[in-house]
Formats: sequence, structure tokens, C-alpha cells
Amino acid sequence: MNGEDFETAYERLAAALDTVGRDGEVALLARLALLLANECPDLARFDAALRAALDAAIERSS
Amino acid sequence: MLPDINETLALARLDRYPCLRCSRTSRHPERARKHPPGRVAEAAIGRRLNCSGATVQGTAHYFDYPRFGVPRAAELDGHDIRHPIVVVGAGPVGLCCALALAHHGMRVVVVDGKTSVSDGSRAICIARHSLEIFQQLGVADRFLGKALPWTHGTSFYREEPVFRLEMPHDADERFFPMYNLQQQYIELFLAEAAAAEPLIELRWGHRLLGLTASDDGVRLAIDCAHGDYMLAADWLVAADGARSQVRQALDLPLRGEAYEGRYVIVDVHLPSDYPTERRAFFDPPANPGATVLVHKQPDDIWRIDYQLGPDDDESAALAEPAIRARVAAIVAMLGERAPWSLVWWSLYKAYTLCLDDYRHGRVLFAGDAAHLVPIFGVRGLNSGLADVANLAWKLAYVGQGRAPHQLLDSYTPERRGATLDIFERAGKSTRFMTPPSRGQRLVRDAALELARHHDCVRRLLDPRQSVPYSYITSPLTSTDPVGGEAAGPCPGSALPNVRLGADDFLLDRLGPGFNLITIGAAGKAGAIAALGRHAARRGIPFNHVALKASAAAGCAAECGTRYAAPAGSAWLARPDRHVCARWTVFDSAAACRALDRAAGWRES
Repeated sequence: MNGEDFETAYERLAAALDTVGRDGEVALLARLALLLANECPDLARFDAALRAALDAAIERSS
Repeated sequence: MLPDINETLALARLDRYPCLRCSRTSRHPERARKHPPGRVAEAAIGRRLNCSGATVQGTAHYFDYPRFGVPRAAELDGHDIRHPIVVVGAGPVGLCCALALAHHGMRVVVVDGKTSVSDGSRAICIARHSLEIFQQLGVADRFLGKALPWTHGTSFYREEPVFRLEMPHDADERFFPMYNLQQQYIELFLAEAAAAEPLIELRWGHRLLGLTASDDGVRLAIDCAHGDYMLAADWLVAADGARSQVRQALDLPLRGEAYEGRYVIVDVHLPSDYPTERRAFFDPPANPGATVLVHKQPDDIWRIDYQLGPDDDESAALAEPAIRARVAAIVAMLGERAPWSLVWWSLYKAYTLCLDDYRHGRVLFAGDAAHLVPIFGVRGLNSGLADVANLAWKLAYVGQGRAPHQLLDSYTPERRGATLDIFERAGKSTRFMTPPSRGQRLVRDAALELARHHDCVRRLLDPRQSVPYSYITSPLTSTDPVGGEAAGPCPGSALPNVRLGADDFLLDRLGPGFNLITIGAAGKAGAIAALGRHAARRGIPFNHVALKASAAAGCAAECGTRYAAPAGSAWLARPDRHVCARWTVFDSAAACRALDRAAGWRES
């Protein structure tokens, strides 16, 4: 995915979250994560992304 | 370590038996031990005893519970007898163990405090490998004449089918991947076979009071209607179930985990033409936010397992009116219109618990006495049957002097290894069926939602049905000189079946001892005979099954892949039909070493 497409993906993710609202955003992200996990070439790639997201969450909460 | 679970499983005292229906205890086995943890709809089932011993008559009678006589033990008449093997527990695992020991030529005494088979359907799914064990013991036909075979299942999310389970099945299999049959039939068929076996002495109504185990044997205190006596044996097999008294007497804890989900399991009499398959419902209209499992059994009996919600009170949920209301909603959801009636029900919680060691000197544990596994994936009874198939030949060979005592040291690594493998697989299934955390539930629900339209996600819904465990890391398994799966079954694996004719399969041709299977072994007759002589010197029964290369490659579609190997290849299988060694070029010296190793004569 090139930079331009990545920016588009960013916008579309935001729009999808706005569309489902607070009640549906967690379920949406879970579904999206599962589908993207299935697109990962291996577990290491998924683990790296998950770790980065988790680190950001822990850093923010501390 | 979960002491609360062990306390839950423990008998309060060894000399008292609990009636789990009414919380009373009694020393009288007819008044207390007869009662299983399940309940019986008193208006819906035939002759049965309630807590006071009164007979209950019902309307949906479908099974005549036998009343076995209480035999008089020779020990009560002053005979000083030392038995080779005693099995405690005449459930399916204990009875199968006795039959397997007799199959290998061992005399065995089976004691059980009850005088009938277990109440309620309990374990209902018999896997193909278990049928193969029954076939080996000569009892499969009774099961095939009654059980309902099945090959597939459907999982629903709300009302929509989202996953189709297709279990491997083809023309090379003699048996279907799964059969449904109530446990009381399983026990009855095995008990009848055991009663007809001269090497087996069944002592129904003989209750274990306590035991002492030493380096050279065990002594059991037994109580029966004729009096108390001491029963002495070289070896003891504890197959006395989840509340094993033997385990309690030796003060051995189960270790592991308990899961969150609670299920009410109900037997319902409901005439229906719906085919036999496994149906799983996630968040169905009849049980919102929870799950339901449905299995068909013989005699128009249906097993319905429905999950309780986190706020459901157990005692209220187990009241008959509450169960009727839930079942009515589920039956309506299934689209069934015929009148139905309750037969039996119980409460189920999932555990992954096992002993640290399945052998304690002269005492060996099997089935639920050794391990408790979740029902999801139908591994409880099936793993117990695999336990005794593994144990019986080893115990027989040691008892007959055909193998050293060290052979029994392989029992724990092999069968506890199988248990831990089950924990891994069944744990996943259990977490999917009953998510234990908010995160687990979010991802599970996401998977279910996506499974409606995305094939790639559906594999997450696979219930991971029971499959035979491979003993690849066992000390009895020889190092594989071949490598890979391209040359037929790997060392450690259960021998796969192959159709060799219209009603002729590879497993039909195996003998009770070690079996050598060769493909196109022309010119190897001398080497094979040398292996046979080596086995004979050990006193080990040996059988050779020669498959023609052309037949092996061409008689059936799967044959070429299951035993795809160059002409001259050979597999040596143990008496429990697991491969202990294989070669693409048969070598009698290597085969003799492999046989010695598999029989415990050689260090790994």
C-alpha cells in the first residue's frame, strides 16, 4: 500500500467508526482486526502490529 | 492447583457414598451410590430408583436398566487369592480396560459399588478410533447395530448457518467418524461382553472402602451385601471416574483450570426425522447471548446442552419447570412440532484437570479418574478408551513377563501427553463456546459475524473434534529414518485404515500383538521371519500383514496416499495399533531393536 492509499485507508476507517458510532466501534475494530490478521503473511507480522498498538495503549494509560 | 475443585470432586469420607440428587450420603450402595449427578424426570422415564429406593414408573420408557446380581467373592470363604489385576470402576473405561486385558490374555477382577449401568445418557459421542478399539475387542457389532453415525455438523449464529463441519470420511474407512449412543447402552454392551469373557470376573455391588499400595502389590478393602473382605492384587487400575475414590485414598490432587461456562445438559424424548449431525447455536433466539448444542441419539432421544447466563442461579435453573420452559423454546427454535418429554438432566462445567502422574507404583489411573476434559470436541470418553487401549497391553505384557516393569513408565508420558494436547485443543473450543473475558467475547462475536460472509474466518468455528494422539515423542517410539508424511503413517501415529476389498480392511487383518505391515516385501521373507523369531523369544505375539504393492497403490483412492511409500516399506505397530517404527527398506536388525524398544526392553 503506497502512502496515498494509506491516507485513504485512514480516512475510510475514521468514516466507518463515525458511521457505527460508540455502540458499534469496538465490534467494528474487532472484525477489521480479524480480517486484516487473515491478510498477514505470517503471525510475526500480526504480532508486531498488535504489540505496537498495545504499547501505545499502555503508554497512554500510564 | 485448584483445591476448591478437588474438594468439590472429593468424597467427604471414603466410607460414605453421596447421593448427588439429594445431597444425602449413605453407606448403602443401593440407596446412595446408585444416584448419578444427573436428575430424572420422574414422570418421563421408566423403572428407576429414587432416593428412598422406590420404583418410579414413567411414560417415556426406552431403556431397561439391568439389575446385576452381587456375586459372592471367594475371599469371603477364606480363600487367600492374589489377583493379577483389579479394575475399580465398571463404567465404560473400566469395562473396556477389562476386555482389553482379557484380549491380551490377562485375568482381571472388576469391582464396582453399583449394580446397574449409569443413569442418563452422559457421554454420547463415540469417535471412529474408539470403534476401532471396540472392533479389536470383538464388541463393535453391538454398537454398530444401535448407534447413530454422523459425519458433519452445522454451526449457527443467531438463526443463520455460518459453518459446516465436515469430518474426514471416505471409502477407506470401515467406521464413520462419529457415532451417537447413550452411555447406558455403551456400558450395557461392554458389560455383556465382559460377562461372557471367562478371564473377567465382574463383582457388581462390591464397593471400595479403602486401599493400601506397596511396592509389590495393592490391598483393597471391599464391602458387599455378603460382607467385607480384603482383595489383593499385583496391579490396580483406577477407572472409577471423576470422583475417583482411589485417587482420594491416595490423596492425589488434580491440577489445571476451571472454565466459566455452565451448561444444563438435557435428554429429551422427541420423535423427529432430522438427520444425525452436530448442531451448535451461538446467540440463538431460544438462548440469547449464550450457546446451545443439539445431538440426536437412538430411541428418539435428543441431547440438548444449553449454556446458562452469568446471572442465572443454578438451583433455579435446574428446577424442572425452568428446564421445561428452556427446552420448549429450543424445540420450537429447531422447528420440531411433535410432543416431547424430559428424560434426564444434569449440570455441566468445563474443566481441564489432570493428575501429575497417571502411574503411582502399582496403581494406574485411566479415564476421568486421571483427567477431566471439556465436552467440546467429544474427547472425554474417547480419551478414556484410548487410555486403556494403551495401558492394557503394557500391563498384560508386564504381568506375563513379556516386558519389564519399566514399560509402564511410558504410560504417563503417552497418555498424559494426550491429555495436555486435548487441553490445548479443547481449551480453544471451550473459550470459543464460553468466552471467559470481554476480549474473548468481542473477538468471538466478531468471528461469528464475519463467518456469515467470509469463508476465511469460518475455520475459527471448527470444534476440533477428537483425533488419535501421536506418540511421536514417546520413549517407545524409534527414531524415524524416513522423515515426513510422504511415506505413510509416521512413527507414533495411529495406523490409518485402508480398504483392501469389499468387506476387507487393513485393521481387520491385524493380530492382537505387534504387527508388521509391509508393502511389496518380496525378497524380505527371511528378514521378516527373523523378526518373528525375535518376538517369539520375548514371548511377544507377532503378526505380519503383507500388502501387495499394486493393491496398496490402486485398490482405493486414499490407499495410495495413506501408505504411499516405495515397495519394500514396512511399519511396525504396537498392540494398541500405534506405529512404533517404519522403514522404506526393511532391516530385521533395526526392526528387532524397534520391537525391543517398544516393549520396554531397551532404553531410548
